[in-house]
Amino acid sequence: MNSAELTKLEKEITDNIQRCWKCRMCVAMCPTYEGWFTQSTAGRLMAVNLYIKHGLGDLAELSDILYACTTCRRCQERCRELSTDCRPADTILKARQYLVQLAESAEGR
Amino acid sequence: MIDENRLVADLAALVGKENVSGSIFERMSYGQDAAQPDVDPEKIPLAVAKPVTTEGVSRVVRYANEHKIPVYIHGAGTAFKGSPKPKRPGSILLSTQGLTTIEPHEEDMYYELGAGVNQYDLEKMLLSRGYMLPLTIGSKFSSTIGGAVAINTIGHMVDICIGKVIDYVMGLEVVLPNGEIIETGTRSIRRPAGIDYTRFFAGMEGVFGVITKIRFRVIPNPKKAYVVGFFPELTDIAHAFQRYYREKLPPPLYGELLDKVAAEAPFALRGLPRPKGHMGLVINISYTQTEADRQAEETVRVFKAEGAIEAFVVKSENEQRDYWDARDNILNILQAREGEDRLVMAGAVESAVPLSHVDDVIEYLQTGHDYPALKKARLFIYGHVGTCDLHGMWVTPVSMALEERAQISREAVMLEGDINYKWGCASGEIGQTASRMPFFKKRYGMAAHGMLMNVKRAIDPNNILNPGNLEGEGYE
Repeated sequence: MNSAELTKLEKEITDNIQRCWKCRMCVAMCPTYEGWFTQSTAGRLMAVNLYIKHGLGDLAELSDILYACTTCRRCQERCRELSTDCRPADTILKARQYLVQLAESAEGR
Repeated sequence: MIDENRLVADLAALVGKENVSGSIFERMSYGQDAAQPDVDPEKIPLAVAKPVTTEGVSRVVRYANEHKIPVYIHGAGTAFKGSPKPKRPGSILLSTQGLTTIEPHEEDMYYELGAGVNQYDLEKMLLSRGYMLPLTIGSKFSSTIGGAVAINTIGHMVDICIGKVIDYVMGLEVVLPNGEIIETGTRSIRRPAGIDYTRFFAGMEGVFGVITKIRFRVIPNPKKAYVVGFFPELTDIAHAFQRYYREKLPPPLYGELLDKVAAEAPFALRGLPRPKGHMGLVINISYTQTEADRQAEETVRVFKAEGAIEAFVVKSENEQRDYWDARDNILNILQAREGEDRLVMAGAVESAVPLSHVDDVIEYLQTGHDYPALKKARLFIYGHVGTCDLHGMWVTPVSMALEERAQISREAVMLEGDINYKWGCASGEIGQTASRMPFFKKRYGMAAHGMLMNVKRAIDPNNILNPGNLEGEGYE
């Protein structure tokens, strides 16, 4: 993947995250949530946003955060029902794709 | 500034390593509330501490005070005007979400609640016992009772029907800025007359102490009757409520307004027919169903007298839920589209205005101001018109440049201040500090603000708790 395609992927992810109100209604109902935000959908979205926008954080830790999602999609249903329908589960999957593409770019494939 | 590794280690020794995080992703998530813009990367807190006992909170605050480290208090992070967001670098983010104890004392008509008890869980528990939760906050699925008491908000409910949260707070347990733990108030359903320390903390937005426990009075769950009306103009709904109160009818528990365009997406989501006009929604209450129904018929009469296209009592429980959810889950309005583009919120105002001017403020929001960026965005108006609290939300396509959106946000803050100043009012729902401080200073004057700062210095001489919020830092 070239840098233009990575930039496009980044924009798709951050556009979706901009639509997130950070209402955090997807936090407590997330099956992986045990008390810390990054164990929930909202925390995962904020983490990838921080990495893309500010280059902050460790890629391995971000990967652990994103791949801990079970992709059950309950957050996506709840966001549609109660909030802005920012498609959080789709965005997490896209963020995983982004991590893979970043790794491939780094390896020069 | 203290070394962050040392800080995390010290906090772990104070409250247990499982209750502390130094991860930047965690620190940023806790440092960000629902308000724009995102937290400044330079001000991401150094550590997050989530004590599970009052003593743990006390140890963290005492430590911070000794080392002069700013502490930002965090309930669920759903605030709209920036209060839990760090204003200064090198801070501790102190979450009260770990304080989740619930102790019933129904023989004395109260529950003792940890500040971190979730509002929705609490509501379900109280309803199962025949009580109601006297607040409905839009973020109740995630927000905490401690956050509501710190802001003294009841969200969507009508104050003159049910009171403010403080009216249900018989007493508090609070950690002072030096780490000492105090108890305020009483165990009696009669609140103290004269000096009542509860008032130093309930509604003071965490600048004088950390609320750790709340002695919360219970109230029996009343019977409800639902009324929906559709109107040609938004101001017709304002006139309906002006007439309602002029006729000295009993204040409803809810009196809601939602403009027609904003209503379309939430109505479609629930399979409701397209709204025939701007929606007014009322929930009348009493302790008998007969009386609640009688009040609802009066509401229908008032709606029709003010030109409702249609007004009716909603009998079906499913329809009651759908109409209510269409208004209550207000973020659904952002599911509307502009062509193929999706929408984002760019700016918002909230103000509780004088009853006789609700119609004037609606017109002012629509056409009465001269802010050019706001005029370029689409405006959705909604609010709790039964308690004269109006919201305006300016939305734009997600493709609009960030700087243009930022200008809309700035103009919305100025417009909110203009409204409050022009009509002599203030926010009724989401607090006064942080982004609202420039208005607060103008509205009440520098003498009043100076008094507040002097009290803050007396109680918190090192300015440990939520520093920058009373100063309005970052929002000058």
